[in-house]
Amino acid sequence: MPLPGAGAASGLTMGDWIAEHVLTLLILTPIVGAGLVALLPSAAEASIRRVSLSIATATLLLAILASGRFLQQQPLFGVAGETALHERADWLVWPDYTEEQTESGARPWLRLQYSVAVDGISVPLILLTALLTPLAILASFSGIRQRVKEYYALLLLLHGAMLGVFCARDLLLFYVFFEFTLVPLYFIIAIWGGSERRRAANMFFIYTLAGSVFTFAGVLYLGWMSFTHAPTGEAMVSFDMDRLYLLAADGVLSPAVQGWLFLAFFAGFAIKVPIFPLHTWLPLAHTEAPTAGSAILAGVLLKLGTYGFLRISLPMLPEASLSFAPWIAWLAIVGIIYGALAAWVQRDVKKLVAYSSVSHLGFCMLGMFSMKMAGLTGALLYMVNHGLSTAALFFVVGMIYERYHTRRVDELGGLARKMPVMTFFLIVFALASVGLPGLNGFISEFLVLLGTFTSDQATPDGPAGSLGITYAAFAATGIILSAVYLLFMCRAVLFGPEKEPVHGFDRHSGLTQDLTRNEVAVLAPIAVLCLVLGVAPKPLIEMMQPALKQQTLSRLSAAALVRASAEKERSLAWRSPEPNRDREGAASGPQKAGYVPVQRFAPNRSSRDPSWQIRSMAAPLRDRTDPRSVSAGVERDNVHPIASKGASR
Amino acid sequence: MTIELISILIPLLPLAGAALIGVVGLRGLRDRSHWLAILGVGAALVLAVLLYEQVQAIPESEQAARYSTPIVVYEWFRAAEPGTGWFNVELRVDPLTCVMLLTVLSVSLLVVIYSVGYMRDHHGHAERGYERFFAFLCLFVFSMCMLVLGGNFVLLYLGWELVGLCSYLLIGFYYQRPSAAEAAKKAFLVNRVGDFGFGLGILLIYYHFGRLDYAYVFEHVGELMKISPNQVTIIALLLFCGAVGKSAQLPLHVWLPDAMEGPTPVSALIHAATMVTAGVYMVARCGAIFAESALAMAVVALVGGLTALFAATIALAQYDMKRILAYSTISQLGYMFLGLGVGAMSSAIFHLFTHAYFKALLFLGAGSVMHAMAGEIDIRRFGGLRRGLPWTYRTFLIGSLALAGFPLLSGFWSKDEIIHAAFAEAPPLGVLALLTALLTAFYTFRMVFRAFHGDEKLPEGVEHAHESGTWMVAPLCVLSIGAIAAGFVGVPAGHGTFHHFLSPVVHGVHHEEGGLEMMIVSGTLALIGIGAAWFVYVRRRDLAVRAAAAMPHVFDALNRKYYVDELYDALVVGPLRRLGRFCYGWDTYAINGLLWLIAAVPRAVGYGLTTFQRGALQGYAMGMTIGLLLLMCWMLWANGRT
Repeated sequence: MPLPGAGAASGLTMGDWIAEHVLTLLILTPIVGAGLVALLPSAAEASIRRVSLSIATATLLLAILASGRFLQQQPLFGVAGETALHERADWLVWPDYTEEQTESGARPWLRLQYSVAVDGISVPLILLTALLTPLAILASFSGIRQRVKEYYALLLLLHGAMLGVFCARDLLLFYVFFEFTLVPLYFIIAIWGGSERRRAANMFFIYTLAGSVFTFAGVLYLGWMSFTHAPTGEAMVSFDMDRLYLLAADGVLSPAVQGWLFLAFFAGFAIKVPIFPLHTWLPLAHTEAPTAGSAILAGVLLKLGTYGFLRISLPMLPEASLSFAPWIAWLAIVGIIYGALAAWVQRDVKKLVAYSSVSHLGFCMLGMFSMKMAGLTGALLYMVNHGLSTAALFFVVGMIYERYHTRRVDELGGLARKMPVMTFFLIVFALASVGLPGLNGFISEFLVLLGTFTSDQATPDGPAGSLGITYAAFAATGIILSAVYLLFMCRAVLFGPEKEPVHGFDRHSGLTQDLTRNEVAVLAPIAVLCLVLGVAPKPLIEMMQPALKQQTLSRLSAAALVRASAEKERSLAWRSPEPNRDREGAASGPQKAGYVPVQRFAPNRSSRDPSWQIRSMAAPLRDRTDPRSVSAGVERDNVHPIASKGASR
Repeated sequence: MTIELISILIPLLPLAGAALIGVVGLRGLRDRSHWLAILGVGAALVLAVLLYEQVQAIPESEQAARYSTPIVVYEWFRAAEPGTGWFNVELRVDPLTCVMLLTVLSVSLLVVIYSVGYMRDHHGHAERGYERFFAFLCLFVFSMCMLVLGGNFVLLYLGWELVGLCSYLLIGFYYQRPSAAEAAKKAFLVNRVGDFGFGLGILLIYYHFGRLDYAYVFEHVGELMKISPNQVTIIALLLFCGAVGKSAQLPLHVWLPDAMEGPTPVSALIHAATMVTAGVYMVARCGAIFAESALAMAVVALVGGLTALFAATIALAQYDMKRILAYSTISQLGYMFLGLGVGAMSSAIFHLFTHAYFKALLFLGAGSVMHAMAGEIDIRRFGGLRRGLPWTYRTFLIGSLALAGFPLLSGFWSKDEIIHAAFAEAPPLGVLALLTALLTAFYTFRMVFRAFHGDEKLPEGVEHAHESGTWMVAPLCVLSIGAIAAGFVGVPAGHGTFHHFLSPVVHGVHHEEGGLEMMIVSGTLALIGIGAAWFVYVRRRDLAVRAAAAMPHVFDALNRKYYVDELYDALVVGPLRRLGRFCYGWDTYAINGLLWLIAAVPRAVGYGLTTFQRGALQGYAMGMTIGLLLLMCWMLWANGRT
């Protein structure tokens, strides 16, 4: 794709080169930029701000370019749901054989790769990250007065690491970036945070690190097991995600091992999300972090956890995910209600918004573990939407704080009079967060609930998940409670008689009473996106769904079918005992009974095929008598033939 | 213009109005912003009339097909389960839509015109937030149009929530008044409780049908009924939850009286004529679902009947004119649900139609009084206003007669149909409805006599009563024509133009026998109620005081609205709040305490080892590596065993 301005001369033009390496550039630009900012003289604060903003903006442009390239490279504009823009480079190969040795059959034992690619799952999150960081930088212009250089350098470093997580296609690389995000954020909280910043930073760091240690163990174990699927001539051990996905599908990982691995990954991801009861670092860290830190933390960093589930736990450990789904769903529901109630009683607005994340991400987890397309789409959209609206809420709260140096609801009130523009934005973002139809939050919430609700139904493209109506009904109380605490906040801060803290509006802040132009520039793009994503989310959904199907859902469905047929086998087994299948047999992959190649079940039905509808109407009714049994799901006429075809092979 | 284009333009014009007012407001032309609102809503009204003409012209043979084919505007989002398509932004145009659009837009236009006069002070200067007011009004009209035009349940929910938002914004229009801010919050939250059920109902529909567009669901609900009747009942009851919230029925009625904190035009438009009737519209729209389930219909009728009586008794003991009218609205909505529940769906829509005019008229009249009394609305503080406010008095009287069911006025026809149907289907509910009719006449004229008759009495600070300006009086006059004449489109009962027009989509029942007798009975009851009010409040003014003094507990219970608010505070809000505090406390002390304990062990060990290690991070890294190795060894060992 030739860039405008790139010479049309012979060979590889500059534009081609950029387009070829767009992901690497995307990750490297902020990281190199951080170094660049660090080289500037500390006194030149204005130029530091300008340079870091331009670097972040350049990154945003690269991200847009990357997503354009992604759509272009995808056959049929992403309908296949495959990854694209692959870039690979060896990082470490051991032992490093010479060419002759390789030809004579020697293969390295270990190959660590720098491998990046994107698909419909990561592109939206990359765009979210690339958008939020420049805004966070812009929002920090007035608030950050000390150690300006270090601050922006760290922010850019964080930016690069976050983009790296979403691009990584190698599990070890993913883990490296995942962990690396901690470092800049630790310093951002610890240096520029509020009064309890040291405690908050330490807690945040140790909490998350403690969890991800287990994740690391899981990463190593999975990588080590990858030897079972080493293609000829390839290294025995590799962390290539595409290879790791095959492990579970081919039955290399027994259910018990999957369970342990799932818990190992869970430890890291659940703390990051955060899932109740591992959320207690979050209110403190969010509250103490500087505005931009909180916004990035809520907007992107929490999504690293959910993204980890979506990218790693679900597809790599599908059977364990299925078994743990009800447990996680209950934790998510408790989180939804608990977080909302705790948010309601906060006196500190920032803490209120922080607790709202606990509640909202419960929805996200719930959708993911519904194992339904609707739920998965909803969860992924939720990540984007929550990222936008909550980050924006943090920005607004930060803007209030800069003016009044307080965030306590009992010291503020009636700000609508003096700050109408701020009021407008705060209400818009609160409503987006509440899930008002027409704004973005609604669609994700609706899809999550839809997925959860219909989770116990089998559809032609996959058997039933393990959630159902009860889960959805409990979770739906969240739609009442989210309105409770957010409207409480609006009522307390914006409405009622005017109330200011004793010291009043800070005239030394260099800000106007209502929002400055800079601040409007921070909020307006988010508000526009909230509206656009609420009214016309179609392009985004069309990008996400094929990838979700291909990357995540198909693997889950395969596992569910395997599990169901295994259950059936077991029930037959005690009638006519078969010779025991040993571990080798189980590990031998495609030959195993019940293994269903992923492409098998994708009957591409026309969207309004009435014949299926009638049956789908009948199916759940029968289901009502025995709603949650997976085997019942497979017995059903529209799924069973596929399963048995796979089994007979 | 085709039906498609018209139906798309109808919601878009008010929306454009709202957006433009936002821009103009920023530019400083705020005093003129009402023109944009009048233009937007007026044009939409003209289009709605055109739409009505075109829908009426559809020949009978094509009706079913035309009505059930939605007008797809664009594809919105999808769940992408196989067999399900996109949830579209699609519109459905049929007689019910037309009736709702005409009602909503005509009342909206009049209210917008009225507001031009109302939202100014006595010198003609625009109030603070003038442009905001009109922008919200336009946004409301857009939302309401989407609600009635939407062709599937998602869009219904969208309209449902958006009108709720506009209601929230407009109730809280005077946001600096704590009571207004609280009332706005309460309205939104109570509605959300209803929406919780409503949303689950929609999800349950999706669960069974796999789709959410009206045409498909209504067509196939019979099949579901054959397989599983209980599920249909559950769907209907869950949907009804939403209606209970939005239309302020028992037990979620508590928000509507408080909503009177909003400017009076808002109360007239949103909290009397249009938004609160959305629940009635929804049940009528989903008539195919409700009609399948006798239990659901019984619940609808019972809730409606009880609410009608309950609210009417409270209205007897209120002093705030707007609150009296608010309880009267709740009561009249109860009538509508009673009508729906006994199967007389078209009669319920008929009552919705007539009620919109006379109740808007009453509210606007009360607003005119309030304007003249410098914001005072308590009927104990003023009296005898009929000389000072002649036009307001005349129009208010017409509205009151219509509300009381005075023979031949609009309220008489529609209310009578419902009472008649109730008697035929469920006599006890019919008795309830008749009793309510008596009370309605009484409390309405209690208000009329206390406010307009007797000696002139003005609140402090008001020298003399001024009639309002033309901007306000003109809509009152137009509405009173509606209050008189709107009923005639439904005459003769059950066979009028109105019912005939609605018949392809809204089912009604009509019982021929006893129609005239019922009219005589209900008309007489209305006259008795009015006469009793005259006796108590004009002739023997001491009687009311003595009656209240004789039964202090009864009066108190009525005046305090049966203590329902207090009950909810004590039983729902308080415990939840305590639970929230408990959650937060649990976080701070239990979980973090536990973590502290866990952290304390390595710290204690660390004290022993401090001689070697001082750098914190290295220590952790060391611990990590060791732990990791141990874990891996254990996993290998465990794996080897199995």
